[in-house]
Parts: sequence; structure tokens; C-alpha cells
Amino acid sequence: MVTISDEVKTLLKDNGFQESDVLEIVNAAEASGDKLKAADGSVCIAKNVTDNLTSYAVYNDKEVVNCYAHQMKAGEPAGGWDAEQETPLESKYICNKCGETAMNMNVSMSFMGMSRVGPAIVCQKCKDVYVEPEMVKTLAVAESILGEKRA
Amino acid sequence: MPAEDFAPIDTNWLESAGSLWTTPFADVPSERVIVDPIMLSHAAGVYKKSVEYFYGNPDEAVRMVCGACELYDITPVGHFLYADYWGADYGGELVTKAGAPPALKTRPIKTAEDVDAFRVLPPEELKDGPTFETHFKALDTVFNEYPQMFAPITQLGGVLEVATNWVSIDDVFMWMVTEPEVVDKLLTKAGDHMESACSCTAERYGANVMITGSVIASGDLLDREQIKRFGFDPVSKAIRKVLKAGAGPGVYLHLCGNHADDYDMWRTAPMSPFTVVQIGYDGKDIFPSAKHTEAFGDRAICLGCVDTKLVDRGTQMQVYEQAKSQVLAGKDSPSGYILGTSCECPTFAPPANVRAIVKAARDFGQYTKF
Repeated sequence: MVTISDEVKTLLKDNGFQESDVLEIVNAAEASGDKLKAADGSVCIAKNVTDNLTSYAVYNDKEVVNCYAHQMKAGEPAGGWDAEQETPLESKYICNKCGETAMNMNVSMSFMGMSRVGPAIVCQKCKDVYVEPEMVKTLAVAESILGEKRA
Repeated sequence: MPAEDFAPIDTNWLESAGSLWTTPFADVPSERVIVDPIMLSHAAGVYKKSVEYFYGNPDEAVRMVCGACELYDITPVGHFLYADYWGADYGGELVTKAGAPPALKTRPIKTAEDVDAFRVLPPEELKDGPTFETHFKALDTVFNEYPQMFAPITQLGGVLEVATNWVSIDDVFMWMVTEPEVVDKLLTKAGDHMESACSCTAERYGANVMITGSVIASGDLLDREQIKRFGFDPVSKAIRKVLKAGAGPGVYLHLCGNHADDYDMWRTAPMSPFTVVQIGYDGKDIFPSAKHTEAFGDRAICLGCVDTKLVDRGTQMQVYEQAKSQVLAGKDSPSGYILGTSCECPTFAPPANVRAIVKAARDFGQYTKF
């Protein structure tokens, strides 16, 4: 049973997350096995996708160390699955279910009725798509600009 | 020319141009395709100033650029940049030349042995260097005086362009053959510099558009394998690092020169929702917008080009016809389209030719997709 670090508790408060929601994401991932594992074994990333929000929890054996979310809905790789295989670049994560290294790819990102692409990591086998924690600021700024322009 | 010497920008024009400019980025419908001919020192001629004056006075330069944007009815953005950025921050000597942008006379890396010891400046040191002193003077002027024409850009070029501001281009090309691993190291450091530079801009303005891509790494100088090793791969890694550092979200891939043999490779370069892809030439010919939008239209804004040689030396009708052909082929590209030039608007291009591009966009650039 993981707990939530004090740092993440502050983050949750600032971003309007509930502790129970984050723990639910972790518990669901542990039960289903649907998660990414860092290749060095240091952390796992679990996610929950709803219509308007994709939420993530980054955790180790003991505690949740980060959580983040984006409103853009991540979809399939741009140009289809085969097109993105030409120059793949490995990420530092492994798909827990498939044991495959997840790859850096451009995937479709839908937001407020428009579609563009954005950077994500994708399991080549089960095709599950994740956004890395470091990339979420890029999406947040893009969401903010698009929200203003399309309002 | 201080600020009070410039007539105010017409607010109706600004609103209209802003609307055209928003369309490719946010899919908000507007009347027609906008034109971005990368207005830089050409604006100096509009105000009867020299190129040296333009680059020696970045605050006045951007005022001239903003005025020229209104005059020509083009993208309402106050650009300021030149090719030889960043060398001076690391000890190179930047000199002015008559009729040309500033250029590096000496570069900080002299030998292959220097590469290992070369230290990339972190953002806290780079932001106070000579390049950002100039760059921020230009950007701050736009931000304060023309806020609706402000875009926080960072001029980088690709990693090879950054590297050749540190080492002479002759040495880099020689090392590609004799000591390619030295070039790999150099390009990794150039990528680290890109992250550092973009972080400075993002920190100051809250967001950043990185101007990167592949200029030297083009088909006129390198083959596909070399472009992949010395262009695509390190540029892709650098873009990803910049985005991970939160120093985006804008990615402007400027594929200058001939990219007939490698353009397809760039489809998988890391992209954000605000990515513009510009491709100069397909062999000796201008890169056709039909081919451009077929390859990139599902993922990025395509900046279709009119040949800068034609803009500089062709007739008004030749420019108009090429612009017409390009805009008709590209205007309804799914992820947005901008009509531009294959590189910077030529300094001494006839104004009638620049205007011909805009005329073609007005006559043939109406969207049908909305």
C-alpha cells in the first residue's frame, strides 16, 4: 500500500486533486498491471483517462512522488502506427504488461474540437499512450494558448 | 529612430492580421491564408536605413519590422534574428559587415581537443551574455510597444548551425570524415545549449518558440545518412530536451536549402501542438506545397515557400504565379498552412515582389475547409 508524500499532498491541493483519486489510479494500475515502469526500476507511472482529463500518478514501492494531468486527449501516433516506426527513439520506460520498451512518438492530441500532435511515449505492442511528467508543462502552455484563442 | 518617430499601427489591420495569423495555429476560421516572408532587414530598406543600422539597433529594428508587417499586410510578429548567434557568448568575435548581418570573425573552439573541455553555459550565465542582451532588447521592445505583435522566439537553427558558431564550418566538415565522434560530441553540446537558450526565453516570457531544423544539414552538402546522424538525430534529441525543460511549446522546423532526400525523415521529429514545418527546396526547385502538405499536413502547420531567389531577382508576375500555385495547393492543409518564402525575405528584394506574394494569398488563399 503506497502513501502520498508531503510534497505531493501540497501539489494535489494546489491542483484540485483528491488524495483518494490518486490512490485509486495507483491501486487500479497495480490490480490490472496497466502501467509503465522506469527501466531502472525507480518508479512506475499509472494513469486514468476521462473525457476531459488524463491524470497520472508517479510512484515507487512506498509513496506517490508526483502527479500531473493534461486536458488534451492523446490518441494514435500521427500518420498511423507503421509510419512512426521509421525513426523510433526509445524512452526510459517499459510497458509493464507487455515488457516492451515504450517509444517516443508524436501522437494526435485533441482539445476543444481541434486536433494537432504532441510528444508522448507509446508501447509498440499494446499501443498504450502516456505523457511523461516532464512534458506536461508543454501541454499546459499549449492548452492555455488554445483556450484563449478558441474561446 | 525612437519610438515616437513611428506612426501607430492601425488597430483594424492588427485585428484582421491577428485573426488570419491565429487560424493555422488554432483552427479558428478566417478569410484566407496569411503570408509570413520572414521579414528582417528588408524592413530597414522600408525606412531607408542600412542593414548595419538594423542589426546594430535591435530595438529600432523591431519597430521597423512591425511597421513593415503592416505596410505589406503580413504576419503581425516582430522578428529579430540573424545566422551567427551564440558564438560571442563563448568567446568568439562578432563583427559587423557592410550590407550584411553580423558575422563571427573568430570562433571559440580551435581544435578537436577543445571540444571535450568546451562548457555549455547554463541559463543563469547565458541570459546575461551578449546574444541575449541584444535579443532581449529586441523582444522587450515588441513586448512593451507592440504587445499584440509579440512572439517569444529563440533563434537556434539546427545543432550544426549552433556548432558552426563555435567551430569553423571547414573544421566541422573535415571532422565529419576524420573524427565523426568529435562532431557527435559537439552536436550533443549544441543540443544542451539549445535547452539552455530556450529556457532563458521561456523563463522571461512564460513561453518560447524555438527556431530550429536543418540548414547546413541539407542535401546540397550532406547525404541522407549524414543528415540523419549530424542533423535529424541530434536535433530531435534537443527538441525533446527543450520541451521536457518546459521551454516550448513552439517548434519551428526550418529546413533550409535542398531537402529532397531527407524531408520525410523529419515527419517523426518531436512535435508539439504548435509546430511549423518549412521546407525550402526539392532539388533545385522550390519545394511543392502539394508534396509538403501530403507529408506533414496531418501533424504540423506547413509553411509553403516562394523561392527567395525569385523574390529577389524575378519579375512581379513570376513571384505572383509561384505564390498562386503554392497557396492553391496548400491552403486547406488539415493542420494549417502559411505562405512564406524559402528563407529570410531578401534584404534588397523589390517591394513589388514581396507584395505579389500577399496579392496571391488575397486572390487565391481563401479557405474552403471551414
